[in-house]
Amino acid sequence: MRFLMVLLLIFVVPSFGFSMHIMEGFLPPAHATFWYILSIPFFVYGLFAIRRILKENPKQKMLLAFVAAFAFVLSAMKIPSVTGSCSHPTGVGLGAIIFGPTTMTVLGAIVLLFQALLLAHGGITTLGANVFSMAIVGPLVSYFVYKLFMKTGKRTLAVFLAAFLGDLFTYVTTSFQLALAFPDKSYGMWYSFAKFLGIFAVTQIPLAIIEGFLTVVVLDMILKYNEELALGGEK
Amino acid sequence: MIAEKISYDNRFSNIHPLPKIIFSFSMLFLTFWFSNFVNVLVIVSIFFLLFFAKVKMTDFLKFFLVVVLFIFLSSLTLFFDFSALTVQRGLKVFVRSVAGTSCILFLIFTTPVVDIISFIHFRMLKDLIFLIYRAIYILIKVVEQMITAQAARFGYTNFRNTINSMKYLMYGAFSRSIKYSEESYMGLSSRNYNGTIEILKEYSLNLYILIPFVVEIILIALEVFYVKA
Repeated sequence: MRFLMVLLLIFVVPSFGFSMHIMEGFLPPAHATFWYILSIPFFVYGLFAIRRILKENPKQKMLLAFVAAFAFVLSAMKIPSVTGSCSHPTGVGLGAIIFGPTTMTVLGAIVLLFQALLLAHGGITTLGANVFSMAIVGPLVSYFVYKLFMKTGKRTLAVFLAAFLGDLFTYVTTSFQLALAFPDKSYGMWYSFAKFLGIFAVTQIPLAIIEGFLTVVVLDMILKYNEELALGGEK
Repeated sequence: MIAEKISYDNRFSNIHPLPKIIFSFSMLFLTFWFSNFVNVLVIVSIFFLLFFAKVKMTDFLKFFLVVVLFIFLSSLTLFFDFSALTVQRGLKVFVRSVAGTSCILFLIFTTPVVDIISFIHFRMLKDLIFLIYRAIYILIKVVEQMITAQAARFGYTNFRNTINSMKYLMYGAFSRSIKYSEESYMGLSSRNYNGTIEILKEYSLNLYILIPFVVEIILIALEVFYVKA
């Protein structure tokens, strides 16, 4: 019976609350602090990376600002969708491929802060956890998968897998964070992990595929029309 | 984005942001310690405070209900385990989350984001955050116009079409971002931009700001003397 309820949940929840943001107050204080501490080194490293970029070319500051705004706007806009839920691309994978992963950590953290302050989406106490899953794990996975598969010479495959796996690992990390905070009463953490994974999978896997596909075509268009930009990022 | 509009036009908006930040953050951290009953009172008192600040209640309610629905659906998973019903845990997290969000909503609805940004003292980060904030509003307008234009030309009608439209929207937004970033750099540098942006604002001091703190003290007293005792 309980199992059926969990199964039912898997089909009811994601169609509405599909987002991967952990909302305000969800994580117990100890967990929230832990994810904050884990995120800070990456953030600081990202700040140094940005400073290096700005020293080379101060013009890039505006570009970084607009890339972050791009990620925010795509996640905030209600794009009409036939499935009912307002699915949207995040563009973090795209940014990670062009600007490098640690730069995206800082930009992603600021975007998440604005989502908390302008839309009440996510939260201040859970910011550390959200930054870790969305602005650290996602871009890092995207970037390294891209680097790895670029060695085979197939760019389309590399970009698709980068965006797809970046999205996927973001949601796996979120599920892990939730499972760690709310382990199953008698079976323990891994059952709970499986529960959260199952619930998010229904929307996140199709969304990740769509995101992967979109990133491929958008990056193709960018490479076609702005050669100097893409070459600058691939160093 | 409605919250940002309201934050410029209420009783608290011209008051120095520091007390408002202290109030909402201390309240936010207290919600972890409060019991369910007091957390519900937190939500009620935030409503009262926003009503007192002359925030239009219908606008606030619309915003609030969407957020609560969202929190409810996310916390639904916490009510069930494979082994047992965990109603108590689910309820506790749900109430705590709504209470915490209300505290942040108080800050959002009474303080313009620029005021909060002006509190960051790390130069590079402050500049970057301010520029991102500005870029968001430029891009929102552009993307809105693009979506309208696409919808008027039968975009987003079926699944294939939606993906195709989204492709052009993403590329459009990205290429506009590059174009606008170049233009705004030109605009700023022609006005002697040297890498720092100053935010100038005058704040007034008003005794109204004591009211949230009085409410907070009452809530703490209630928790200590009534619920815990």
